[in-house]
Amino acid sequence: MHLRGLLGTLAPAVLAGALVAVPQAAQASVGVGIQADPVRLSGVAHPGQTIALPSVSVVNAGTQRESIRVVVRPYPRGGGRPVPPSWVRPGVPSVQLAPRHAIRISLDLVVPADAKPGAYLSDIVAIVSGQPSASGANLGAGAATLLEFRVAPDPAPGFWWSVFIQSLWALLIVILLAAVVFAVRRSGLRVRVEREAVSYGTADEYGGWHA
Amino acid sequence: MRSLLVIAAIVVGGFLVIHAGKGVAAKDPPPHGHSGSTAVSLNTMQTYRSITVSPTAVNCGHYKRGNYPNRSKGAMGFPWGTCQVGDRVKGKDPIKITYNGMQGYVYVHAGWAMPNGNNVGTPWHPCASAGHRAVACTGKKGMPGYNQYTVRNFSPESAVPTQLTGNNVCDVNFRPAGGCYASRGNSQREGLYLTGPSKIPGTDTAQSWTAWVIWTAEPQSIREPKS
Repeated sequence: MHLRGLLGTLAPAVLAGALVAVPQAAQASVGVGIQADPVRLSGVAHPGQTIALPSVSVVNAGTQRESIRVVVRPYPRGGGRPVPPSWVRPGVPSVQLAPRHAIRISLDLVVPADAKPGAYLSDIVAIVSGQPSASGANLGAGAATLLEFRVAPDPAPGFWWSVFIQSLWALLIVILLAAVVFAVRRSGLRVRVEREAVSYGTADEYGGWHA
Repeated sequence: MRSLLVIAAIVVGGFLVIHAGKGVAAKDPPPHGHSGSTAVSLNTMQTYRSITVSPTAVNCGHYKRGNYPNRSKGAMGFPWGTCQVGDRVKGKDPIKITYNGMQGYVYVHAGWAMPNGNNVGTPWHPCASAGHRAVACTGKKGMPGYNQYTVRNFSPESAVPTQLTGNNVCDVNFRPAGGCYASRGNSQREGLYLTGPSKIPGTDTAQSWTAWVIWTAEPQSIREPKS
């Protein structure tokens, strides 16, 4: 009687647990989302310049906590110069996100000094690849948005100014060094370096030593 | 001597003037005034583009091919053993791909198959029996080489399975009509056929491998009309 009562009490809880657990296991999914608006640089980038791009929003669209990373890939439908992946540096290599949580990831654009001018177009892809399974096929998801910017043919406006400033600093250091040397010589201060005479022995042909 | 020191002092002074000017802080914003406010809640359209794949991993079954003694019903044989996820003929398509958010396209590619655990194994690269030489299968008659494998996906929508490579391509199985175009809530069920390499190097100890297939939600081109 007691057993029946206990079963009667536990049965709904067990059934409810099973109903909750089974669909969750069956419907586990991996998913990712990214902002639909392109990441677009206002203005132009110049060779040799490092610029902060607008940050990109990504969301974990799956049912599990996932590690999401952002990479640059050629836009498969073509158009514009593809952006070399090394030009774009996400603020973090990857982010851990709970299901239905979103985050903004900062991006830096590093344009090399020898970058070709023109319009650049690529994908920024948020990728989630889940945990490796025991065997078989693992399934991943990616979501892409466009990355667009233009590179001007000339270096950044401040580029030559920075070169000028650096040259002036170098000149200043040389002048200061010259002034110090000149002052030392004029003051009659002498730094005397004496070399201590040391006689070393030499080995003879029998392996002995003599002075 | 004195003249040199004077020149140096002038140069240092000049630099201090130039660089001190850069350090001037911005003015503080004006203080906020007193105001009344009310909160307004509203819903907006989803501004994300997302893709969801369920389940997260699938097991390959129905092992076939390979030559004695490298042939088994419980493991992939050699050369060119096959296994499948689902069954196109029987209409079993266990992988569900769901597109959401702003309209775009569904693309798909395969990744390297990697040995599981800490076992030693040469990664298998996805290859294509025909097409671009960079991803071509190097085995006999377009079959995978010793470090290659092929993946084909299928769906009820397609007449024949489509070979995947490491290049991201339009998933024609998602929506054959209209390319791989997708809009909010579109979903498709798909399955996979895998073919293994021609042989396993004697130095490999791995007996369990995991292949990767990744679906990507791609945006429309900037020249394509937005609806």
